[in-house]
Amino acid sequence: MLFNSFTYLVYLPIVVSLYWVLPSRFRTTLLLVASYVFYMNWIPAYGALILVLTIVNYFVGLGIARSEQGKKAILLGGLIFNLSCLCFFKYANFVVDSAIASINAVLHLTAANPTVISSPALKIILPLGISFFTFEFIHYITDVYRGSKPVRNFRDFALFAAFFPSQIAGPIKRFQDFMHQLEEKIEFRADNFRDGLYLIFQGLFKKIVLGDNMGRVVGTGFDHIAQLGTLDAWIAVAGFTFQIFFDFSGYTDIGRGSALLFGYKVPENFNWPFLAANLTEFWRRWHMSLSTWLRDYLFIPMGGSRGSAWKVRRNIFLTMVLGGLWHGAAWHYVIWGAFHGAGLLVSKEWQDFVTARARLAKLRPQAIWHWAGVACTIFFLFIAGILFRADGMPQAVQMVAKMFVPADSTSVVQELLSSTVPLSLTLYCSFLFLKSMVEKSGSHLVHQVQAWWLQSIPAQAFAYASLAIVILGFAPLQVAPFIYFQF
Amino acid sequence: MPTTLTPPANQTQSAVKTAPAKSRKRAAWLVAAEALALCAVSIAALEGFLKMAAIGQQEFLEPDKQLGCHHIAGKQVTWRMEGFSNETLSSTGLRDTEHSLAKPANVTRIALLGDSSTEGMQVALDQTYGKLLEKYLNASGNRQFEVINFACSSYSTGQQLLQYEQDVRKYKPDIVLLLYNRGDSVENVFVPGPSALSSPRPYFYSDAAGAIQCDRAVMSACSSKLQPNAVMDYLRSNSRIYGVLSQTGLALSINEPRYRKIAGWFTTLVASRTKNDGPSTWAVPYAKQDPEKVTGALLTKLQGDVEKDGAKFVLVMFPNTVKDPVYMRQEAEYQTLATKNHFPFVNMTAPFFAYGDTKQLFLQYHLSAKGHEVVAEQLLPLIKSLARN
Repeated sequence: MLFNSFTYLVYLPIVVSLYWVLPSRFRTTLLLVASYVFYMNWIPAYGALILVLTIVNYFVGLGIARSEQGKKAILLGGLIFNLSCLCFFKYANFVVDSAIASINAVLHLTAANPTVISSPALKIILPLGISFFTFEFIHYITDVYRGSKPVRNFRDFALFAAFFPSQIAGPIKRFQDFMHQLEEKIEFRADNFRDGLYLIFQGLFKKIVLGDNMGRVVGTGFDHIAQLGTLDAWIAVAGFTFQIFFDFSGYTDIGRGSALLFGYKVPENFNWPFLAANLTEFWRRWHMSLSTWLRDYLFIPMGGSRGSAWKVRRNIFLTMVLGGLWHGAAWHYVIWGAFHGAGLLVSKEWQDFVTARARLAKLRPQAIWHWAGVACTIFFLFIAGILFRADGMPQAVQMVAKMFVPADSTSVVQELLSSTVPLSLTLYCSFLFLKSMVEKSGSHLVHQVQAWWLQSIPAQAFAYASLAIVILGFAPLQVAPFIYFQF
Repeated sequence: MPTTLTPPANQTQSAVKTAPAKSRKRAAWLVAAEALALCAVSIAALEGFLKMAAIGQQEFLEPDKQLGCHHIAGKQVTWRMEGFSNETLSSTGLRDTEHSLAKPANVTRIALLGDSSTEGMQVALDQTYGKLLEKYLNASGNRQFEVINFACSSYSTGQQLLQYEQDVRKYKPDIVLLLYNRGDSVENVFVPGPSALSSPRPYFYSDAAGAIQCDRAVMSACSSKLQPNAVMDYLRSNSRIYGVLSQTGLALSINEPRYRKIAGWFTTLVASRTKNDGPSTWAVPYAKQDPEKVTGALLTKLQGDVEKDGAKFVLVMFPNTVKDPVYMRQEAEYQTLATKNHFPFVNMTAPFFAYGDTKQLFLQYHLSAKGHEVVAEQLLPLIKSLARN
């Protein structure tokens, strides 16, 4: 079920209404059932997969907590089980195709007219959200191994794994935070409801109005690279960087908003990532739940920042390469990860270089230094985005060439100008500006209007109804699935 | 000294008894007034904003008692659902510039019949194959040509025949060109189901003697829907909010199978509760029809009408780049019909494949500007030769 689908639009209010009507002792069960219905709506059989993973990890957690001697072996078994599932569903096709491509390449080198081996069709469909919930399971069993208390109640644990607002594309939750909320008796709170609705509408606006319309412009560029002019290529590349942000942060907002309607808080995933002045800062602001997961369960276990400079660099680079592979089973994702890894190393070296030069270090607090850093980071993200979006390396190289070889532009420029993107982007930026002004304002009138707004149900109802019409009006004909659903 | 004034105890008690009821009453009244005012402000602001943003201007069809639907005359349309165009329909409801009913002297008039592919909302008017054809023809010789685009979204071959008989022949065209699209033949015959009730149109069948007949049973069943309605007509022509809601319904019916199912149930429910709209309207007093045969008979009838008016009839097949086997069968069948009935037949499939990258010729479902260009280029020599003879 997609968050931006008609089905979800009907499903969510039904589940929310039932949730608050039912006595509190039934609510967790209801959410669990609703989460499985949500997941099985796509391919019912995959409900069994998430259930099996939940059962195994539940017992692995209990086993680790009970056994002092063999807990390392149990953890290892649990990790192998989770990673095997992820690898089988996500990487089997990739591994087989890559192996056969390599064999064919060798055959071509050794014989004039070799018999080419064709890839067998494995017909493995990637279960939605598997990358996210296996990472949650790995976090759970590792933290139990490190000393956290395991979850004794199977129903609660099953809900942690299946909780539908964060099931398909995160944010990757931490079980300690989730269980803490589950143990507290959740009361209906109007402010949670208001904030939840705000997040859902903001998410829908980001996804449908900004992301999907930008996607059409970007698609025009990436589908016809050979015909692109210089400006066309720049618009397509820049557009994709912003499209993926609006798409993914829109998803996260809808997920967080949906969770709030049930009184649950799931972690934030984005914190103004395009204001980062360097790549290290960017990864602290972008897909934060994945960044912290990679830090805690990959980078630190590999040695983290301990050891020689070479080892630290190796750990950073490998973490990013594996992070790239996590995104998708294709070489261009691996290269995208390696590109980010290399970027992080260069960024780190540059910071050290500046620190060691007194003249340069003096410039650091200057605004121009900061904004130059922001511009360089965004430029890096544009190039990295090509690796992410392109169908393969040849297409990526062709797009980079188009950006730097002067040529007249038409198609993407026309698509952008005829689209609603310029207007909707202006609208969204104006809204954010006004919102920050209101938050900072000490004016009595502003406070009065704010108080009226918070109290007036008709005002909120009409505002959201109007916003819904605006979103529907700006929506493209075809609803695009969320980009991160494929991961 | 106290900072707040506290009333005496007796006064406080009476106030406690009366104030809540009074404030509740006032609050309810105020809330209702506030809601009304906010409703008016929201609607006005939203209409203004949508107009400024050119959103919600995609509604361009209104019900028609004869044809099922037709274009809203003079409506400004900003089409964004697939491709983009921003134009105003003519005062007679054509997706075209203004054309006089009287044919100017020494002008060869070409009438285009078709559905959304010929209508071409997805591209600017100047980029439609009709306008391009006119431009190429007028640039290629001394003879003057006028191409009039009568095409309308969703029209079946049968509706195009009725449109010809009702409107097009008044313009006295010299050549009538029909672009046949995939799915047109299925739309010619009645298929029981909720979709038939949601967009009522005339259907066609061959009677026992083999003559083609028009079945208006569904239109009669939905007569209330097809009656002029001042409020709905106003909203359709002027309200952007209505336009947004209507386009959302269309997008949902295309993309969401569950919505289609629910909308279907709802339509059936409404129809079954409406006077004279019972299930009896679903049964037809004739045998199950073969869509291709009915379409063949409709094309023959249209050719006959056109030729009786002294004009020439041309059948053009929409390109079958997806190699749909059903459509391939139709291509062969109508080509045979054209040979038998001696009318020109142009199949766009081969020219589209000859172009190479067929992706460039389409947007999602409809022709891109380049696709329209290829169609116009292909038609140019045939129209020139027909005009000469």
